[in-house]
Amino acid sequence: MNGFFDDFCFGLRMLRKSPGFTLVAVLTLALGIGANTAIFSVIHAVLLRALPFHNPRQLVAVNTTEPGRQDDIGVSYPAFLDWRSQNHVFEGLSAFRVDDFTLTGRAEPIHVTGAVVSANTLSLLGVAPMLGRDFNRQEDQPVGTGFPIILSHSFWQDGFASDPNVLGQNLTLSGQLFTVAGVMPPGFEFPVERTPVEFWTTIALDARPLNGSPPMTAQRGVAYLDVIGRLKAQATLAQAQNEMSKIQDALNKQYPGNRPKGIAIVPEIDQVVGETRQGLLILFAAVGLVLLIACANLSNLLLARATARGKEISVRKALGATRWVVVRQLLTESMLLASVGAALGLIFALWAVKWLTRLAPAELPRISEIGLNLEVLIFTAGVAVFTTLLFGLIPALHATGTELASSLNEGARSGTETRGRSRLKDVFVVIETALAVVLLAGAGLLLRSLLGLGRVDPGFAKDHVITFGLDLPDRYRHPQRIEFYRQLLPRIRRLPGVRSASAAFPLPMSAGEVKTSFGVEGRPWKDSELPVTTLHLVDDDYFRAVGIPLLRGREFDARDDAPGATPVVLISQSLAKQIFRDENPVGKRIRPQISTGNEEVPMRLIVGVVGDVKGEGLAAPAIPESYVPYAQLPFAPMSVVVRTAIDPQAMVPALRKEVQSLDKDLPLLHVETLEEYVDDSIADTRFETILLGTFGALALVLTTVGLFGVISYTVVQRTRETGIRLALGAEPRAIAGMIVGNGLLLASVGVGIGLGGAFLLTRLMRSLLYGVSPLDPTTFFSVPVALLAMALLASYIPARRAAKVDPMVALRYE
Amino acid sequence: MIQLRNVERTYKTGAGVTYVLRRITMDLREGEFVTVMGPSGSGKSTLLSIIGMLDDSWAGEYYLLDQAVHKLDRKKRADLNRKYIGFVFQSYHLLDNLTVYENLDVPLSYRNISRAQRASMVAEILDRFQIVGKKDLFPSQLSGGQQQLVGIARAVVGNPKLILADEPTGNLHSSQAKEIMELFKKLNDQGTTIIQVTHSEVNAAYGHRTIQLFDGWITSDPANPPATSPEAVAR
Repeated sequence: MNGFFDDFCFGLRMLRKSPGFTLVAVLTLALGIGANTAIFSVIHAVLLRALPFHNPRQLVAVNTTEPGRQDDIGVSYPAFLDWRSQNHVFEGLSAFRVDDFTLTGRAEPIHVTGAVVSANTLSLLGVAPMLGRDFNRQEDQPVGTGFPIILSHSFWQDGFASDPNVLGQNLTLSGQLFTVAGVMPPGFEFPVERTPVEFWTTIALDARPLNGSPPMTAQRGVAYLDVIGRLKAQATLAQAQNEMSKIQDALNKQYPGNRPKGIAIVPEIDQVVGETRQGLLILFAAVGLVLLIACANLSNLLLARATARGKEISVRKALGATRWVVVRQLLTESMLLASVGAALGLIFALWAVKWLTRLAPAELPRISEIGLNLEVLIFTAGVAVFTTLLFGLIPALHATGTELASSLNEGARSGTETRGRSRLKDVFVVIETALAVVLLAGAGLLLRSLLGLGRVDPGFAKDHVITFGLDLPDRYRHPQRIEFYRQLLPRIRRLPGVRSASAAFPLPMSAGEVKTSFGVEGRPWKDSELPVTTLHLVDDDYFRAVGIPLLRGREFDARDDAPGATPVVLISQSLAKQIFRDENPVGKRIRPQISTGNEEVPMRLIVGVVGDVKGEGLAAPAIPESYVPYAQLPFAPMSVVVRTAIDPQAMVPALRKEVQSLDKDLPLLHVETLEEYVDDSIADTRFETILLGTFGALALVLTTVGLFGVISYTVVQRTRETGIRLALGAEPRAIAGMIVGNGLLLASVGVGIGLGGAFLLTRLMRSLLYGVSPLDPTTFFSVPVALLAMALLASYIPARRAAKVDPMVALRYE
Repeated sequence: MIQLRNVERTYKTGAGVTYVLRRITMDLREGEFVTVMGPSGSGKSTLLSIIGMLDDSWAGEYYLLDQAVHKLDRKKRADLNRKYIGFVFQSYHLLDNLTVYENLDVPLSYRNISRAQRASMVAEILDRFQIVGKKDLFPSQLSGGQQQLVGIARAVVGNPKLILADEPTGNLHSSQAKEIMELFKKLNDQGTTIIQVTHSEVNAAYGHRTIQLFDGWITSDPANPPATSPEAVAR
């Protein structure tokens, strides 16, 4: 212990003695460890942390799939009830959906999000309310006057000032009466999403007849619910998959009118994490490479110091120190550096985490849970120990491994380094250059993807358009809904600064979508083979407001809104091509399988063809879309789109005023520009590009500094040689060329190895790339050129110094 | 062959200017073997560096083979160095990471000579110095005497007219020193002009004349009896 304390004190003194070295080493480590800590805190919060439920490993998502689609398309309530009653593998199954609500009857109408869940949900998750009671089974059906509601802890705190007497209070949400039954404990959130919901109510809300239509819970054709289940203790994922597939196959046969569906059971954590896992793991690997580069740099610095301290080490050994004692001394110094670096790195990580949270794409779940907690601190400490061994051990072993006689002799004579040590430094430079190439290649590919996405035409004019949603309560029946927009839109169009205005559901690139199959007149397809389209409900002037070009026929107008008007539809170019090939589709009729009530689904006359829209994001292919006048199908919560001549955000107060002049209880929901929707659709690529780009730049800087350090050091080491060469007739230019050549040779070997590594590793990124191959020639050409240019710069400065060596001084160097 | 007129070399120090060489005036004929002697710090090595054009910061006049060196820029001086001068150092100054063969090739690589011609020149010198068997060895694998033999071979390989030797036997024991001095004598007999700096009277005896330096002044030069000595200045 005494020995260690002595080592500690001596180490401190040695580090204080070389403040320049200590500063560079600590800053390098702080950057490397800090960046790793920050990314790990994201990985921990998003991927590793257990879901906040009882025994979360038993929880699975039961997804419904369709041929050709991987994502969950949702399940109808009747089908969900069949699943629940027929399976033997689940302790419980619960259905849920998230929706927007407007809280009224208090000071100002406010927008809140809530989850409509089956009554067993909280007990299935194993979390009980902190105040009040859980839902009971009977509450899946409407009981009494108000629907039961359980508040989230934060909603209770912020909206009700943590009122302990909140139980039994009545609330009006979107025109419906609710009664507070309980308050959940802090930290509970379900479903786990970027923005947690503020309350839960039961599926009874969907069991009411709506606008004359049968209740949602009674329609087998309306798939709108997500499902979570808790596996029985003995049941496996495979058993559940097997049994649920059998049940669904039977339902497919029993109800041939619906498209056949499949089942995919995935652990709930995977469902929550979704596609973010691969991107995050690649970022984690990338930031790990940055740390390796930092370690290689430090190893080189320590090797250089070991040369300078060769005599000290030899004297210690001559005085009886064992190799282990000297190694321990050197490692203690490394540990000191790593500890200070880790402490500074934590401060850096605190700042970086805030930056990451702001930068993170909307779909990254649990981002609010990111922080420096105990697990992250343990990780940082582990990284500090790991880096100590990584950058400290090899130099320490090397410094203590030479023969005593020769090292004493060597140290006394000149302080020059051994050939092995010099080669080891070259190896480190080659390694860090190779790692930098891999990182830069990855960053380059992502940058090219992002630039490519930036050039993609979304199919509409995204600038100067503001959008907002409206949650019309149930008292607005179909005619009132149509009338509401008929009054609102002209008012908005008259506002100064407005060019055009309309309403639609859903907006392009927004989360909501209505997919429906459709028949084509004269084509006797089986129900199960019908093609699918994404349906939009739009008001007049929509295409002008959003900037979607009309390619054939006409847009909707007043004659389509009149009662008893001919059912009409506009289709997108890709839908026209898919179904009608080279024929003119205008005048033909299709039958989208959707209606507002019990009447027969009508054939719709195609009156025009409009341009394709990248409805599912810039990176996704255009999908076949169709548009129906809202007046003919007024069932969905519409969003208003306003094209402006001025800054669209500046219009928001005037728009709010117009809405509330018609209904004072209507807040504007999801106020966003179309540009923001487009930006959000590439947010994940941008996030990954910015981070990988930052790591790449960091790698480039570290590598350049590393190369500069090694070449500078080599110049000092080779002063005598330079003097001899000058004395033998070398021109300074030849000396500079020799030094630069040495730097470029090291960099070239590193680049060669790095390109090999990048060739193998970038294909793992394929799913993150858009419009660029993992072996993109531009990237694979630019990265080596950039690195060699930096190597040239890093070598040139010391080379100039070498060329100015005075041979007289150099020859006396010994 | 060499004329120095009032050559002076100074160093700026904190207190002012320190003179290393003062009013050096001397003449050397082609084929001479001259020894420069004097105590440590008398300016012997500095004089050699100026003659060898490794040092640019001096004043006075210097003619080499009728060319006014003092009027030439650094590049032209380097050209003269390459063309006419070979160096031999006390510490041999062989390049540790190169073999004997490669060390001999280094000075030739800085001249405009084809690779094939260089190979033949190195082969010839290896043969002349009887070190063919050692051509693939590294300096650390040679004895001191052998290293200096290579050092002299390297100085001679470019057929210089002038060899400058700075204490060439300073690190060798007497028998090795004798061999090296015999070699210098042989080279001189073949026509190469040699200037050596040494502390050894025995080595000095191999030369034709000995110039004595003290505190930067020439105190004795047989070819120039009224040498500018401190005593002379005092008078």
